[in-house]
Amino acid sequence: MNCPAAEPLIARYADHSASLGSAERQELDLHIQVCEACRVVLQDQRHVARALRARLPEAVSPGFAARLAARLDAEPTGWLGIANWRVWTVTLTPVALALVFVAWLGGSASTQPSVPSTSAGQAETFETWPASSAAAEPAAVFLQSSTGDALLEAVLTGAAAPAGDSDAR
Amino acid sequence: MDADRGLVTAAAGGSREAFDELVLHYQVTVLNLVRAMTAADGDAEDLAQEVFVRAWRSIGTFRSDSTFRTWIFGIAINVVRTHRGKRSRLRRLFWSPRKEADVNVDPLERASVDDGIEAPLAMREVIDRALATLPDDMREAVVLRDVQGLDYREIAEALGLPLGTVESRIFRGRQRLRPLLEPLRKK
Repeated sequence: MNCPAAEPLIARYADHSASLGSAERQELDLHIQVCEACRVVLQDQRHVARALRARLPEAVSPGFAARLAARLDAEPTGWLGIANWRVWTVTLTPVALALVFVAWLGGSASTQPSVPSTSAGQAETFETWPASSAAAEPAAVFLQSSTGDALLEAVLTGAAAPAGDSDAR
Repeated sequence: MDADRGLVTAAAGGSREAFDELVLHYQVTVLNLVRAMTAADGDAEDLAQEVFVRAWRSIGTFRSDSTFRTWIFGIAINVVRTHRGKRSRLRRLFWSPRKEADVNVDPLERASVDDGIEAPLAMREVIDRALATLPDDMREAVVLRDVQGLDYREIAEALGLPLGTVESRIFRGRQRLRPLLEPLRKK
């Protein structure tokens, strides 16, 4: 056995020699008898292991168990855990974000090819709208008197708001 | 034979009393494992609590082919690793050097002049500081072996590593600690 082969075994030999096989232990014994460097390493390993084992354990603070019990009491169990909206909210946030992103991609992809025709449609609407509505009332009056729905419909269809709608205001 | 088997089985069935009993058995062990792995970090108790909360959440998944101790140590290692990841990200954002006084005062010297500080406490501080200098992978293996007393097979299981890797990390970790723990040899 040489030093590089001995080193990994020295860790176990230093503090748990019984866990080595008898053949391994015999070989290591022979090597350590003739190798001064490995003997020093073995002593160092034993010293460090002993020092760490003597580390004084730290005591838990008096309120530790009570604080933990309060946290565990707040933990949902069984079906309550499944019904806990906080768990679902946190768990499903990435999924929701992914769905929004996919929807946004899909929406932008479907609107892109129709941009020219929409523009043309809008141009036609704005051109024809004053002609069809000017007789009824000026555009400013119409805008002031229309509700949101009526205005939207008028813009989309090129027609003036229904009279009843403006009367309602 | 795992001495905790009965309590673990009851806790897995939803018994809080059984789980509280397990907490009583392991709270000091888990706190000291977390403390030794996070050194002077003040969050050790919070992290130890997090370990038990996670254990309670997943006690139903405990497999009987390992001991409860190995299992909860595995949870503790994951909690510490997550904490370290968050901590290092925060450090990168808001790093500030430690005060000179904190770094340079030798706890053993302080213990000898200050009657209020006992030598074992000072020794623990020296050990924790020394452990803090190790790379994370070596520190985990050394703490599990020399502070917590797990055998090599249990460490390999808790860390999910081959036995040879565990031996090598413990060997190299101890060699790095040797000069830092030299003052304890003189005491």
